[in-house]
Amino acid sequence: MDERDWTNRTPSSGDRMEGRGAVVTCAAPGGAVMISGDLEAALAALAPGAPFVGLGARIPEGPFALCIARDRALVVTEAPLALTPGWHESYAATPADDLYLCMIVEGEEAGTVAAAATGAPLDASSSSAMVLFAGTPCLVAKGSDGFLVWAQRPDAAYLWSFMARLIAQ
Amino acid sequence: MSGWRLADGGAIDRSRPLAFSFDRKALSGFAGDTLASALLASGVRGLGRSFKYHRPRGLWGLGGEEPNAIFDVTEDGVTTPNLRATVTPLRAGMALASINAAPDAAHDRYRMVDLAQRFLPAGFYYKTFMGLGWMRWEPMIRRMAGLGWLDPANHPAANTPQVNARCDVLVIGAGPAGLAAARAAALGGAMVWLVDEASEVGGTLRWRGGTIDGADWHDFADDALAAIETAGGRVFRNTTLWGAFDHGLFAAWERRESAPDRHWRIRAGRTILASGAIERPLWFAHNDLPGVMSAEAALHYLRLYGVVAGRRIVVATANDASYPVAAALAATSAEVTLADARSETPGAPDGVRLLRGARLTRAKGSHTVVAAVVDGAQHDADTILVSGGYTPSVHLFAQAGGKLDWNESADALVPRPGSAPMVVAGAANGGFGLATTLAQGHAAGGGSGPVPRVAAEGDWGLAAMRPDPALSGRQWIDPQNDVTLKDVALAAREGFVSVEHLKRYTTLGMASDQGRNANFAGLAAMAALTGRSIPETGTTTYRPPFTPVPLSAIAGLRRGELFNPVKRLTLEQSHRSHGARFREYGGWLRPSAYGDNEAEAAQSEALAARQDVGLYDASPLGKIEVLGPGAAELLDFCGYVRMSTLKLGRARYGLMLGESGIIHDDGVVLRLAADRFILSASSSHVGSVRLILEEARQDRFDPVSVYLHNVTANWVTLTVTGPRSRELLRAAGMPGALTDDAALPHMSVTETAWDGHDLRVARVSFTGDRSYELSVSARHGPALHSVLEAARRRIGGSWIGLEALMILRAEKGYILIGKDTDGITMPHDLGWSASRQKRSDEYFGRRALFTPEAKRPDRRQLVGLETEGDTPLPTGAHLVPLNGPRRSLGFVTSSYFSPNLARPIALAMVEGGQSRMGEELGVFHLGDLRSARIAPACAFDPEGERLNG
Repeated sequence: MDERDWTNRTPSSGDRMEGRGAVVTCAAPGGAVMISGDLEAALAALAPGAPFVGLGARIPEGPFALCIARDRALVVTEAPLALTPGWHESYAATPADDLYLCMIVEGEEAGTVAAAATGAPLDASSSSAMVLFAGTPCLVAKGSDGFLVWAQRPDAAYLWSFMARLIAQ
Repeated sequence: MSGWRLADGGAIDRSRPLAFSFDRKALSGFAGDTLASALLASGVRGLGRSFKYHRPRGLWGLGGEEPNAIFDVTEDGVTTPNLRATVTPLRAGMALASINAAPDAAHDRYRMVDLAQRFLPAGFYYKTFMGLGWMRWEPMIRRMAGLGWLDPANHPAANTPQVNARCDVLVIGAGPAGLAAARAAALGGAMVWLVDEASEVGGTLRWRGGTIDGADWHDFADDALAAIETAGGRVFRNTTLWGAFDHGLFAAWERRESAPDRHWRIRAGRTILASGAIERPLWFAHNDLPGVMSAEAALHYLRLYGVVAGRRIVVATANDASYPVAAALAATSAEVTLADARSETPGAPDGVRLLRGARLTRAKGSHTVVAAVVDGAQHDADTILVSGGYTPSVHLFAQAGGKLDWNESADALVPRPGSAPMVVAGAANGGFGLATTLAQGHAAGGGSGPVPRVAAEGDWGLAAMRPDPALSGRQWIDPQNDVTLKDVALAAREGFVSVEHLKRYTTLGMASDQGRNANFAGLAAMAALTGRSIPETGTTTYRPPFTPVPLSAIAGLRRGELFNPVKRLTLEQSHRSHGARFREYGGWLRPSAYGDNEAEAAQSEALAARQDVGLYDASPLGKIEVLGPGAAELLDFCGYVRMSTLKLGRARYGLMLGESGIIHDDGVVLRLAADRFILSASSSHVGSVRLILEEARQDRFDPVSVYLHNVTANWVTLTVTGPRSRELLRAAGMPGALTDDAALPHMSVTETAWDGHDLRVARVSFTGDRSYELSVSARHGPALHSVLEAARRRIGGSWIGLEALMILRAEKGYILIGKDTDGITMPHDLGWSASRQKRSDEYFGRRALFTPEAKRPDRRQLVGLETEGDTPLPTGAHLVPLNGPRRSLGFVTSSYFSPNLARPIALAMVEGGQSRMGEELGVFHLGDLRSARIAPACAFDPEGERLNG
């Protein structure tokens, strides 16, 4: 297949698809900041009180920080934060509002979608939310009726198509 | 015509006859048949031809070990090649075609090859086909061999779901040992997954039967399945567990009738391997004739399909397992002679003529068996069933890293306990006999209660059987690939005494049965020939898959745009709406040109960019933020060019080397603060550059003093380049300071605001013209695109694709890593020698730049090429001396027609290129020779005046 013919699109806010017990929705863009170093200090400065979330943890109401590595996380907020990018004595912060695109997978077969895409069990606990999802590094955490996947924006078209194919079966 | 079907019996549905054909001959079977059982019942003997000698081949086995009965099967007009008859269910309307035969197995026109067999021993390929060139012979050999034919119309659906799953205990194999293990583990409360490739559980119990705990074995099996279900486990039938991988990962292929197949990736807390054993052949003259079958297989076909292998049967054996086979066959109207090589044997089964201490030495017949020679006496027979003992199926154990030990009593290599993360039970462990397998399975499953009881059975008896070099006639070790005992001897004489060398020299074990029939005999023969023991001789390496698995099952949904997916631009749709054609560049789908004719569009775009202004999407350029007080030090170490001396707000071009001094990537570093840099890696190297930086950060530096944020995907970057780029920015309403050269000179960067959004502008150029890289957060990319497009419409200019950009950068002699460099290119080969000469501090790859190899004066160096005419030089063409012996001095790395210079341009790597300026060289390509003149790499604006023009 010639890549010139690939016209599957990167999903945008509100895009939705449904099939075989699962609904996938593209979340509205919010705000995000990549932080490294003293994560506690960074979170206290950027989103006081927000929890760190790893694989298997449920996304709370309000802001939270998705753990990527022991010294790196993505602070997720409803809207972009006003911040000075760069080094802040003990931590680094970089705007990443559009680095990831969030897809919400819900429904009784959401677990089937997850099992097809990743070997990491979503019901297990891991301090990091970073997993290989359909072969692509993604951040994954639990939602109220399924799970959420944050894919880097350039990979989102592929992941959307992958899940479309999956739930169509 | 020898095999036949009983009037009743077997697990087939006789109310549902199924019509099929074999080599265009109409036949019929029943629902529940396999292709093998249906053909055996139909009396068809010659099912195909062997790979090399085109000898006739018949049915041998009952499962994945079958080397001969392999067909191209056509259903609904679509042909699937190489389906194994023993494991493929019969369906109505199937058209079976034999393989390695033309036009068919019965009339194969290549059968005469066998007459020349003495001139075609093992390894003759390597000795024969070199003389006139392999290319001359290859088409003919490919026509004659290679198993089945690919049907271009066969496009398997990409619909196999991949499922990751976990269980407490994974039991592989649902024979007696597997059932006992699964039952014991499930009764202990474990969630057990029991996997078997057959359609029903039971393994050999299905045809050998048995009484367990005083009842028919079915009750025991039902009890085991109920226990598994109660404990939340699962039973997989028609599922082949085909691979054991690192970290306890197993792969299984599940075949489903009314739904697409499924491919499982299973991780288990504990694994129990109960994969059984495979019956070995015996070795005697012409043991490859159709009509020679595995004794175990004959019992399998009799009990499961009601098919009797022949009417006059000789069973040749040296173990007790063949006695029930002979008894069962004698209970039909078949005439059965049992020839046991042992002098002390069990009693003769009813109706069976038993010959003790009797050795089968030859099968007679041309296309099928007509007689067996036992101790010199000829016995009329249409079928010879043989059993040379059993080989434990240890493939998965070995794939998991397990080691094998020789077990004398089992006459087999058996798993060494503890050498792989699994427990092995039953025949796979060398434990033969029902009582032994049940006991081993029960123990493996952690059974706490009494071991399942069986009716009293005697000791398992067997005598070791080996190929006998003293026998006259050809003895086949590998029937599909035509490897005989003499071939093994030849390999030994020629020094290929390692089993790995033996395999490659003779092709032994390379057939589709992957050595299940051949490997033991081959290594036993090699051991005898070299005076070594079997353990000393060793085995070949076991690799997945355990049996052939369709690639469509492994690939799953990953096909088309889901296979090796490329990254997508945020503005892809905007570019498409402007007529962009797309191609993959460095893992990204990017506009190649804007227009239907890519080559013409690239020329006009490159011209427009030089004359007016060009715009292109540079979003894939890396944006790796290097942050913290140790940032400058990290960049200095990881880069060839110092960045700690870079002033705030400035940009500097640099190279990153590998440990061996070879150029890994190039790019620009922007300094935005004392402790904040942005490394703009090339699009295809962002990931690897980040890893090199990360490794150094964690291993060499204080990791709390510097951090890396790869935020490439967060940004949309649009580049405006050309003499009217300033004009376009003004027309687009960009902040005035951007177009003020004093405020933003070439090789500088600033962060500002545009329309209320953050905007970063870097004045760096990949075209050699004044350029501005404008970066905004991706959500504002469409707005930036609209503003720039509106300005372009007002003042002129063109969107340019990557093909035009390639022309522009080549005109300037700007390299593309991986295209203009290769796996030996060092910085000084490109003329970048300053750091090598002046830097005294340590940096990545430094030491390799001073090796004798790195200092050779005749290293390939980057140059430009000029040539006559309008036709560009072929990229990749070799540069050769015009006079003297022809040898490669280097090659053309980039070549285009420059619309701005109105002539071809090219870059090349040439031995001692910098000292050859003005020299004429030949450009040799596909037999044609052109001449070219060595010139500086930069062909356009060598003074660089246009950077500020």
